[in-house]
Amino acid sequence: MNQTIDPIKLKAAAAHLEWVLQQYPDSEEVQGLLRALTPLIESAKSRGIESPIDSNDVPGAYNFAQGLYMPFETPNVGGAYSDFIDELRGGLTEQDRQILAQMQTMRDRSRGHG
Amino acid sequence: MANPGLTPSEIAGRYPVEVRETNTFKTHGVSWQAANDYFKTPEGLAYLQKIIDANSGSSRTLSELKNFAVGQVRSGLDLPRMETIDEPLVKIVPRGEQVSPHTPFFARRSAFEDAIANGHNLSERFGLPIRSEAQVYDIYQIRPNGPTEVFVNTIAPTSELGGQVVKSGGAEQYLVPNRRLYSEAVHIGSIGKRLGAASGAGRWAGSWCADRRAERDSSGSRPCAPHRWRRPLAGHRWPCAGSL
Repeated sequence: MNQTIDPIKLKAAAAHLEWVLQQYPDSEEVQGLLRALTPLIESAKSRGIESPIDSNDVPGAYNFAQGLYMPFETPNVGGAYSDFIDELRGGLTEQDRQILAQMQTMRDRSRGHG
Repeated sequence: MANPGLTPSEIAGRYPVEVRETNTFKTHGVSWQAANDYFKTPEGLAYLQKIIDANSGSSRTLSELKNFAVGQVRSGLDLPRMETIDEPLVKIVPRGEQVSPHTPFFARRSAFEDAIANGHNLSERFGLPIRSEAQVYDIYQIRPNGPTEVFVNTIAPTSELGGQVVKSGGAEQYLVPNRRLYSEAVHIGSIGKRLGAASGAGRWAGSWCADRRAERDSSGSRPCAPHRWRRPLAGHRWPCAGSL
């Protein structure tokens, strides 16, 4: 897997994540995440990130994994964070797309559409 | 182990914001690729199905749910094996804190019992964030609504504050990707961080065991046997536990 950064997509994901996090000024958890991510977001916005970054090296990875940001759904903190880490590791792979397609089938089946 | 020369409270005093927010906390488990490969297997797909079921009715994207699952699996030193259980799981949190309704990280009681019986530092063994260290912990229990599949692996080493604090992990954790299949977390007791080598160990064990006895009595099964507990070695300080 030789993933490469798409600086335009990464910049867009960073800007969106920053905006989403700013929508929760009274949340200590979300503002803490914003503080921790700001250097990375700023680098992404200025196209300063050239090599993929492992998702576990992104601040907030553990908090995200244990669902800390799930209550912040509108706008969706977890979704914006997820998109950002996807771009930081160089975008979705073909394997990602296959898994997501399987997940879509599962979700459709659960909703009675399959 | 932790930053040489600094106690946990000294570290927390030096980096209060970072410790409180736990955004520098990292797990050093399986690689992203290994986790992704796992989700192509039948067990991995079962994991994803449970995440999807847990979030039915939400507007979360599948990509978000997938990354959520990847992050959970990567907290382990190995890939999870699926087991069906019909018994409670527990979690320990600093006194006064609540168990998040979203967290998937739990353990069997026996994991804590074994760690204590073997004189392990629970914070080390369970790879806990500094923030989850406290003088007194509340024990919460969740009970499955029926036989339920869970995903078991070994807790990976962790680090925090850029590697100034590292913990070895090594205990067994139970990943619960769909909390809807369990009761709400119920407070079943408390434990202390530091207990005297003579009286404290017995009190710790006795308290824990009393919980077990009450639970087993209510189910009509064999009561707990207190004599199985060992006291710590002379001079040993009981470690703190944390929120696993």
